[in-house]
Amino acid sequence: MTKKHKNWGWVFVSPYIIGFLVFSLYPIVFSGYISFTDYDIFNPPQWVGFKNYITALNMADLWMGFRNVFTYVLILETLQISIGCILAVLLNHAIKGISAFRVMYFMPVLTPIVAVSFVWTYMYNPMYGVLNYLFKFIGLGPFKFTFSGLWVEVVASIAVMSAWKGVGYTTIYLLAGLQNISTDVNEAARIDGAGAVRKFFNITLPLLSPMIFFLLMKGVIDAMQVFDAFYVMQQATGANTTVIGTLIYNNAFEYSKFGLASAIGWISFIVIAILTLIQKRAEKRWVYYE
Amino acid sequence: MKKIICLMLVCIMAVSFAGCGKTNETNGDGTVTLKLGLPGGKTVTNPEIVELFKSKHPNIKLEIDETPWSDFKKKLKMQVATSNAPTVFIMDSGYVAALGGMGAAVDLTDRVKRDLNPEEYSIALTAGQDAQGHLWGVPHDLNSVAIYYNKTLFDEANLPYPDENWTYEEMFEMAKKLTKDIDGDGKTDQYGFCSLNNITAGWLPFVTANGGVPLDETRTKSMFKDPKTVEGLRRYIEPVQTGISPGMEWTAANGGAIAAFYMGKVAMLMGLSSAIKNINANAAEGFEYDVQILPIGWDGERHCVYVPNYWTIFSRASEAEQDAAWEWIKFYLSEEAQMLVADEFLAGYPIKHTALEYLNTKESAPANTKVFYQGVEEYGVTLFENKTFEEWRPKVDTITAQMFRGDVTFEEGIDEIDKQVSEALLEE
Repeated sequence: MTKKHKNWGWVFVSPYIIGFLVFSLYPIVFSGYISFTDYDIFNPPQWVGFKNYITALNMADLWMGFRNVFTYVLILETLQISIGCILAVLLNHAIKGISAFRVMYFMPVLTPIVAVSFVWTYMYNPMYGVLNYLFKFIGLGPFKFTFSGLWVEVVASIAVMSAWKGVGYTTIYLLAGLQNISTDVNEAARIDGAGAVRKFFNITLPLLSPMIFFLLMKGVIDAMQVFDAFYVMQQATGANTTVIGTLIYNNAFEYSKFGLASAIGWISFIVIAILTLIQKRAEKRWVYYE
Repeated sequence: MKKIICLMLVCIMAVSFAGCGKTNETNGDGTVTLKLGLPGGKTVTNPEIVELFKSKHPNIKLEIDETPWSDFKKKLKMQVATSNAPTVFIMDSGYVAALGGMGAAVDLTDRVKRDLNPEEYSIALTAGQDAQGHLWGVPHDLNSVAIYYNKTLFDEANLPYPDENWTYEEMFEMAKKLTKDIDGDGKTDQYGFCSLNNITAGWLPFVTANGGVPLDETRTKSMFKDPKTVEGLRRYIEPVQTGISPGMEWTAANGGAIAAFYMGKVAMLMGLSSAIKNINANAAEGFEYDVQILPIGWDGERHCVYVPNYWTIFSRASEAEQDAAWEWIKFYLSEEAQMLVADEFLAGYPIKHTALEYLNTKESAPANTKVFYQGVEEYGVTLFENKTFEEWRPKVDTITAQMFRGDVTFEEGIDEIDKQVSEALLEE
């Protein structure tokens, strides 16, 4: 390759590189720096060492935020992976109109989260919401959902909404995983006399485990950074449903404490990294590669 | 390769510093461009005032920066950070104190002393003063708290309408009689009172009615453990615990306290004067209500909480622009403009006495609206705004909501409020 060609190569990749440097690397490095300063973005940053980290670790809201976000991740990932598996298996059959079903399940993924959150807030309203109306027919409720004063009910309600929105994405990946499983394996199991349930738990699920592992890793990383749904759906009931995303937002944009907000962001990054490492360590115990 | 890397670095630096420019100064033709930040635009500031100002000040070119109320503060924060804020803008009292604290607002003390006669104005004129005596804004409009009551529900219960000499104890007695289980299912359908979980029309009126205060005189120390403040908070929580007021969950599910009031589910509501527009716009035809001044407190005194929105001048504007901004503020507070503020009730009341007297002569709905501004003059109390107001205020609200619901005991709640407010005040 000539020098001229090499230079053109750099020109072609420069939009991405400039975008990465300006909008990713620079903010990351800068947030690392300001996490050690008092910074209200109007006046120059003042170096304060580890003060923001110590303040953050002593904040009750930080631990409440982790409690809420862990609960949210647990409920969301359990629902998304389990329902996603069921839907993927169902959509893997050659039935009439299967493409329409696939599109239907994927549509919520494409809908903006803010719009979805508003619609679900109406559905969750204990007085006028459609969900309590439906639950009444089967003798359940009334539930207060996001209008509850109990943090766990609010967090669970938001997790259910997020699961509904995201399950189509999980399903598509799991469906791709299912279609990659060799028919020979299933055929051999069938000849050996394995039933549908046994085949699912002993053949399908283990062979899907790499895909489930990928979805779980990605899902946990994404869910730990949740912000929009909690920001829109929280009601003024006094339930402490702070999550790390809203805590960072409030400290930065409501209280102008950009240093403290950055320190919380870096603490959250460390926690997510530890969780990811734990998942990676556990991979060998339950993930099977063909 | 080196050239390309250099070019990239230059691009990054250009983007990084793009927002750090100084605002406009005097124009070449001797005129000054004045950027006016108006949240809510014409629904908040009478456009006639803007036009009049333009005709009387040809040397000042007005540029209106209009944004809906809900987004204005967020946008302004970014504009302040990048030194691109409007030269003069409207802002709520809580954030004005924060802007002053960070050096982004101009201290107006000397200009007010030089050009305005305080005797011609409401006490709200200097309410934007912080504990150190800096005046970070002068009022665009005035809002205050009174009790809204549903006349029909009072008539049905054969209760006389509240008069100006009423006390909080009498208000609670009335609320008890107005609380009803209409369909007999064992659940309350109509509440006598609706406690709000906020500072302005929520806990502060009760605290002050008991002779308490949230912060000390310097606004740097929490007073939430002061016995008078504690007792005031206990009385604030009481209506929910005794069932004459709904809890927060019921209120949220009913679309908020104002909606519950105009739907006839709540007989009395402590509310800001700004709620009038909402009620008049949404209440069904035939809905009859009025307002009464806040009751006399347990300390034998009356205290009326008020909260102005302020005109604030951005400190990074040039001298010429700051002078032009002050011209605008002076004009807005002139007789001519204040009469126009009084004529159209947009965001709140005017602050010039002559305009308020003129307002007294006008018919209004509800009939007794004068209690809002009369209460301020005689018994006015501000929100104890300081630099960290926006941080400690929501923390109090969160914990009082937990106290309402019984998630924490009253004593635990008080300890937690005092702890969290003290933590926030460390910045002061």
